[in-house]
Amino acid sequence: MNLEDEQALVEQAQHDPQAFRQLYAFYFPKLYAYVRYRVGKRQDAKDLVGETFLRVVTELGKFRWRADGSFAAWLFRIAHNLVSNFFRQQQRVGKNVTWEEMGEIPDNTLLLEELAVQQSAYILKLVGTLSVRRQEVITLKFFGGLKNREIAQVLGLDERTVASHLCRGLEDLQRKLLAEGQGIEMPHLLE
Amino acid sequence: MNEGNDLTAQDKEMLQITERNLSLKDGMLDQSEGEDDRLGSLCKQLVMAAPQADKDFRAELEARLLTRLEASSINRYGVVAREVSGAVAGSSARLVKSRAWDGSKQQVGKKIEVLELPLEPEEDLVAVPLGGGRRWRILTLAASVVLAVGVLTMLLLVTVSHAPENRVSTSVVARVTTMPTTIKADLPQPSNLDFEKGMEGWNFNSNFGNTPPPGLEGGIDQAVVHSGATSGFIKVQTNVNIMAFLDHTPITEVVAYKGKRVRLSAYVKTQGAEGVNLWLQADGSGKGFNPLAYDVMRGRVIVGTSDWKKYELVIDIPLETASIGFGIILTGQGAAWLDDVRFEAVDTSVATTGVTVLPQPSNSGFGDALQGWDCCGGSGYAAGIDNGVRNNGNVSAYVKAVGRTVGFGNLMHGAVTDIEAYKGKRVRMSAYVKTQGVEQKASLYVNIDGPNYKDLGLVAQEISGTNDWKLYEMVFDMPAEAVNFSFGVNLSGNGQVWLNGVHFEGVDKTVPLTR
Repeated sequence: MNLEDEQALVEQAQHDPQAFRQLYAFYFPKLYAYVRYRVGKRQDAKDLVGETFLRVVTELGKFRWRADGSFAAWLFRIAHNLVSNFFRQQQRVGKNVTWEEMGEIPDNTLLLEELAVQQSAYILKLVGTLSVRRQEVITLKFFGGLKNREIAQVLGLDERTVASHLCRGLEDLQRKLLAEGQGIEMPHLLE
Repeated sequence: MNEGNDLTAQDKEMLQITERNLSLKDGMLDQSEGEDDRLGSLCKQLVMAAPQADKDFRAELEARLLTRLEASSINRYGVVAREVSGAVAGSSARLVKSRAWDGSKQQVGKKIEVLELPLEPEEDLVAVPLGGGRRWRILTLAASVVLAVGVLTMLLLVTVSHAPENRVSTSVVARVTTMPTTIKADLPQPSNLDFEKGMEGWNFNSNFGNTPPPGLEGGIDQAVVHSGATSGFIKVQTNVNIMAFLDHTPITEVVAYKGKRVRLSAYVKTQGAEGVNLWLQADGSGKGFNPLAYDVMRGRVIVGTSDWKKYELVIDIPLETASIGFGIILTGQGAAWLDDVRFEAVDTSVATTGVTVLPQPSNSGFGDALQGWDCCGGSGYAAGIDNGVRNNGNVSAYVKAVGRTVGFGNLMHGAVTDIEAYKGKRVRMSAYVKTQGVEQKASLYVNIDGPNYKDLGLVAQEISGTNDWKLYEMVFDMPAEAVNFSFGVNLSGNGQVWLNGVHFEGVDKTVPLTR
């Protein structure tokens, strides 16, 4: 989705269900992945993703396009705030997901898929060992597909700080992977 | 906050590699390896590790959002301002007119202009009664509109003056320079809801059609009014079995009504009436009668003599509504007057007074004998169709003891129907039951099944002895996880039970559940 398309879509989506559908199809998986990682439990994630999109529908008329990516930043900012409120209400601090919770493997999964699920769960587990801020940056980057500038808008940080968190986080992950003997190459999974 | 934000050349290279490896198209991985295979692979693994939602949730949420979006679009783009009631053509009065904002995408991003126009009757303008008094009045309406992040502002100021001889005078200053995102408008009103234009828009009829019996009258009354100069009336002074209707031409411009909870209010006066009820109904498209939701004041019929009183009917207008009908019915003798009908949108804190039409299980009226029904249970029972015992002219089905009974005899419908329409709703099942010599008990029941035949609940009413046809009702909530439901009547011990007229409808959550 290029910038021009998205700006037109966002404006059109206020009245045109087809336009909204396209936005939803593009952002739903990204937003869900981010929220699910942050809160861990599936039902909590569903509630928060639902609430986020409902707010988007309600407030879409108030959204004003400012720059490339501002809609994504706005969307994830809503989700980020809701997740933060969720944790405040739950009287708990960002709980890291566990391998077991994220690595749910259906009974009928093929071996390769199963391995992929396990590998993903392992990666998530490693991400969970980073600082909360770096987890946020990495999940917004890789799950949400946001640019550094957008992540900065969502988290209220300087863009350079975001870049720094990203670099340090990736380095940490690489180190941990190598240290634990988990090769980062997964040819048998990627092919 | 700025911990370690000094980027080294290595950092910058890492960011470039990261961005390259994130150059995904529609979620597919770019399979080409970057200069740094390890970092590229890590990026891919991170992307692949993104948790995924189940498709059902994604689809359900999408449907919910689209419904909400449609409703909110209608809210935002309702008509902004309207004609003042009682306007006299050719007068020097002025009125407010807005462009017809229906939410169509051609209008997106454009400005609303509220115009000052000379007063002329126009079809696209609708009436909003502002009191109808005969003295000088000044009404000032100020509508301030909620704004988007410090940018948008609108002020609509309408001043209306009424003079006895020139009943409407309106001056308007309003120019909206922003998107009407938060404008809340009343529903557009059908014409002549106060009968001030005579019978325009209204139809008087009866169940006798074009050959009304003597003693039946209907039209406008200038002596008995709630406000203004005229009201509508029906009068029946004959003993024949009569139903007389004073109906308005259905609303077909329903876009502003769709997806809303709508309240019809009206003033009614009666004299010696056997039965008077207002009615309001949302119909779907297609030929003939296709009700989606309605209220006929069931259980609230006005009887006898009563002075002007305001009555209210509230229903949800489904998105698939094509027209909305309303009017008043007089059943039997007496007289009824109607005046000052009004429509308004209300929020969900206001309970509905009507019902939502649900798809009915097949052959629930026994028109196809016992097709779709099962006769099961103990021994010593028989079940079948009884053409001789009818209710409201319709055949009935029965279960009866025919010998030494063991257990209970059951007449059950499998209810394979569109259960999706029932899910999450409070449902009222009604049925007529007649019993004769039931020594132990007969039960009218509905049973709800979950996945894997899990029993999600049974609601039943027990009847014994001998009783003529009687309407029984049971109210229950249909769980979201329901996959099917069954219903019917069963009999324990000697006797016979007949069943007829089974019907299901959605009701408001304030209707008490059957325990």
